[in-house]
Amino acid sequence: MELFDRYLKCVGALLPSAHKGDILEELSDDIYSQAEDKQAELGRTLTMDEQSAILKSLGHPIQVALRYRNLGQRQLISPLLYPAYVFALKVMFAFICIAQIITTIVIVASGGNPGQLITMFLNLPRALFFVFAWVTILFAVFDYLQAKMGWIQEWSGKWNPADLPVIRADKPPHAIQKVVQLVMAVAFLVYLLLAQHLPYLFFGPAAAMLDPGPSWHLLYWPLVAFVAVGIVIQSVALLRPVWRWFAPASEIAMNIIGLVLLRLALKLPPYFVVPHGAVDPTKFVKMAAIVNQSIFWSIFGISIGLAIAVLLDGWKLFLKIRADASGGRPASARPTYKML
Amino acid sequence: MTPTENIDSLRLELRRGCLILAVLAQLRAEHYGYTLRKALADQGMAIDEGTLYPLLRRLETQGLLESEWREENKRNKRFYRLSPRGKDVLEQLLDEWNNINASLNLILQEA
Repeated sequence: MELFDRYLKCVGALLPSAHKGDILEELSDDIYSQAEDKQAELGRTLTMDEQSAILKSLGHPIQVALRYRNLGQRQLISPLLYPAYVFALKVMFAFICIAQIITTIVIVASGGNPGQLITMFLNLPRALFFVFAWVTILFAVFDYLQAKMGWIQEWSGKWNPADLPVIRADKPPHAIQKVVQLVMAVAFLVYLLLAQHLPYLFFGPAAAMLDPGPSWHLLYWPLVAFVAVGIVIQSVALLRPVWRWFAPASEIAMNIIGLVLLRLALKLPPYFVVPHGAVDPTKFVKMAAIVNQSIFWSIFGISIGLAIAVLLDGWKLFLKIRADASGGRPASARPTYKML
Repeated sequence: MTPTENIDSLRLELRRGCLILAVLAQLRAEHYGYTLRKALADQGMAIDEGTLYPLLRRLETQGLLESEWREENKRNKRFYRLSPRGKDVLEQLLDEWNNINASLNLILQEA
């Protein structure tokens, strides 16, 4: 029975999200019905080898999932390779973006002109497009060759169900974890409240050499309010765990508010200014420029990351709502494997 | 491709062409996936689950089948049967099958 569950979990991971529950339920019923018939024929429970034989007759999890993905569609890259293709694209895009950020910081730190930075960012879409084109071509060629030569068919024909990964139970976050997160959020709020009287806590060594810019106060209180609201939300999630929609919806809302705050932060420069009465203002002017540029572009990068997170979380929430709405079948009873 | 592989491939193509008709005909009575597969296999139309379930899903999407989840023996099973449209389509396909059969018989007699 555990082998069947491992198999179904592997198939499930590769199925399209629409109707995944139904497909798995049907497959599960088929597998367990076969097992029960065989068991009734033999008059005893099945051995691991006999269970494996049932699963081998079904096929490798990839092949089974592929049949449900490939219903009459024709693609440049088959569903068999599509997950690997998307992963490769993500990795390459992330690599290009990180390389761009590092190059930006280096240019800023070495006093490069803004024109260079603008040119570099304008070239970013072109670089991403070339990466997309090359990754797509390579995967399309590989897919064509593997279909012709049957590489993946041959590999999947030799699989052993006993090698399927063991299921680790997905534990929801323990209450203690949530309490720790709440305590840390409260600690951060206290830190923020102290920082307005002790700038070193907030600005670190820069507080000794530069003065905060004139507009920090515009961001400070909204940031404090943001953290306070986050504490309230975490408390509600801890006290009302049955409100299943609350956590994902509030996370998206907080991310959106975070984006608004970051947008506000992008309008604040200069973040640091030369202190009054500085002995060698020229040195401090250059230092302030470098620090301000670094902070600006860091906030910019975080904004992009947060915007992507909002889109992804929104998409996951949409899929969850759609999956819950497409019910109409009885609550799933766990399949029973009758032990003689 | 060896001659044996060639024959197997052609045989598979021939059977694939008849599969939909066999499934629709068998679903004149209600079945769930496993019993449908067993019923077809008992009558000489063995079909693996990897082919059957996606096919049932496709036929349902096309409006030829109706399905309903019911709990039986402590497991949820999806029961399929022909929809009214499915019955019409089955009649039309049966006519087509009989025509093809008749034509083939003529061709084979001449040969």
